[in-house]
Amino acid sequence: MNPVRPLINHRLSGRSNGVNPIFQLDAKVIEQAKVAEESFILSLEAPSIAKTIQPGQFVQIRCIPRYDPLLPRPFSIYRVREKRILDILYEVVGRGTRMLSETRKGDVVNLFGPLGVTFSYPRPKHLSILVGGGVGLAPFYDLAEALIDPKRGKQRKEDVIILLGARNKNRVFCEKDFRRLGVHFEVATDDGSYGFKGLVTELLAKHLRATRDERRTTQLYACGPRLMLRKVSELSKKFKIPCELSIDAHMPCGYGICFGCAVKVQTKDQRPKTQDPQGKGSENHFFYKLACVDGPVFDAKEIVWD
Amino acid sequence: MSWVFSLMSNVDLSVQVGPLKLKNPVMVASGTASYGEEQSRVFPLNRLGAFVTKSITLKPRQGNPPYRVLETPSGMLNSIGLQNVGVDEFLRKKLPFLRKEKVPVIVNIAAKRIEDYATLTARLSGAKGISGFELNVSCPNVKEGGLEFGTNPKCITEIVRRVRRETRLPVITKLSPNVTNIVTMAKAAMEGGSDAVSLVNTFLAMAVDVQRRRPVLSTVTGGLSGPAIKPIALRMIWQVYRALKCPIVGIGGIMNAEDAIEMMMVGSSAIQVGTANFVNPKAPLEILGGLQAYAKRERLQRLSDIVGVVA
Repeated sequence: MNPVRPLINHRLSGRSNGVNPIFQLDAKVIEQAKVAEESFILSLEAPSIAKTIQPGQFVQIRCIPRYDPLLPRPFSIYRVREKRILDILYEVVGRGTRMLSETRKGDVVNLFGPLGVTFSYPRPKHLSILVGGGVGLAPFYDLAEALIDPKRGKQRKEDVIILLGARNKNRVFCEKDFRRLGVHFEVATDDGSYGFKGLVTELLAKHLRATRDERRTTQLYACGPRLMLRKVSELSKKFKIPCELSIDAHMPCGYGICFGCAVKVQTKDQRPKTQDPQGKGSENHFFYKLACVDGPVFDAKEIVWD
Repeated sequence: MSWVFSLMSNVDLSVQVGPLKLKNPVMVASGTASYGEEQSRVFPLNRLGAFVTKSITLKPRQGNPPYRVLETPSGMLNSIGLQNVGVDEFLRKKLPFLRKEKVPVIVNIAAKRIEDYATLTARLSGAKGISGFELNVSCPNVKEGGLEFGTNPKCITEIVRRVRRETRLPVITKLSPNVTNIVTMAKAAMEGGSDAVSLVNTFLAMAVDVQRRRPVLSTVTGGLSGPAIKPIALRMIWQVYRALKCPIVGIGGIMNAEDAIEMMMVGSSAIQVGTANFVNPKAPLEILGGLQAYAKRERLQRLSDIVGVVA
């Protein structure tokens, strides 16, 4: 039998509720710390955003003032400290992130947020498994902290499991932070140089088999490369476990005005039929949501993978 | 935001775009501010001279598959595919919101058939709270209509003429730069009865994913926008203004007040801020503040005095 849907809706932002203010400010860099190969934690002073942002939401960051690279980049929040500091865990993948990695204490970057919708919390006494592929781990410290908070997620520390997938041991980061938090933390490396040898989704499958045998009601969360998310989504279907995915996309504006970050989702029956974009007039069983305002957090069941 | 108000002065920022009088020349470009709900969380929309909606079509459209966007040097490529809610939902849900914001609303319309432009105009011109129309005859990212209309002067004239019959409100025709002679297209629009032309829409362009050996955008080609296109936009506006002296709304890579001033100097009566909205959500306000400061510094009585001084 399908477990009772345990999600409590904590979605605060998004298109349907356009009342929360979005802040735009020049934030001072407090620290730039290298945490692994090509991976950094950037600490920014931004009290207005730090006070309001919720697990799963993101900010747009732009190095100012220049027009090349032109667009801001979206980042998850790794951790909020002292209600005024945002820690951003990121990996250098292109020109924008390279430039960000070159900012130093005292520099200023432009911040825009909080943006997007939040993760949901399961009912108490669930098992929560958070799967991060590489820098996809980014939103999960903040979520783990919220999950074990007696006022928010109301979960027990031992019921929160973090699985990190990394290429090799040089790309493993933030283990200490999670251990200090008191949650369960495991690593899978592609080459077996640290922790479990293999893909993080294989490690996840192992955990899911165990929880099925123990008849635990479980909630999955995942963030990472598309192929990993697809695999996690398949596993959640196979084990009949609810799963929320944080989806990354090319996101020029981050707040629903450019329609650039389309994510293909299944049409529910009650939805109005939309016209075929190419004018064939056929009725489709999918439509596009926007990763920035309808997401970045999506129910794995609604995503169309192709 | 107090700095914005502190800049207020006696300078007359109002502009006239054909019959359309605006309190200032700064608009947001179609498709870069959706229907206003999101942007209103960042600044009050009634600070704008006018708000131009995302293109509205008769039926809702779900748009193109991903990837729809890509950053390029000092610019971006997009191929959204006119995703929009359709005219019915626009009238039911989106227009009432904009009406509450008390900002002049220019509705951008797009269609696949010439008669649909007329039908859309007729449906919309009955509604309260619309100050004018902008005709999208130049979308590069839909298979039928779109760019085809925008590159054929006879089609442009015919579309404007049919729309003209349905409304007394100001009509602006938004032109494609993907043509051999932009003046011919502007002339065609004005001959059909357009009150002004807005130029330019995006430039047809593409990018290749070398790793996967295929185009980045799902539709192969898309429209290029941003600072990269500004010099070409300026040249085209200058050409049209010199030849026709018709009212022009300047668009194309405007990021700051200086860019806007350039656009006005070559003949734009008003300007639209597009891609800059993605880069800096407060760009329209900052540009407005900059224009005010400029007019004061230059001791202009009216900002509109600079329109066409370089043409």
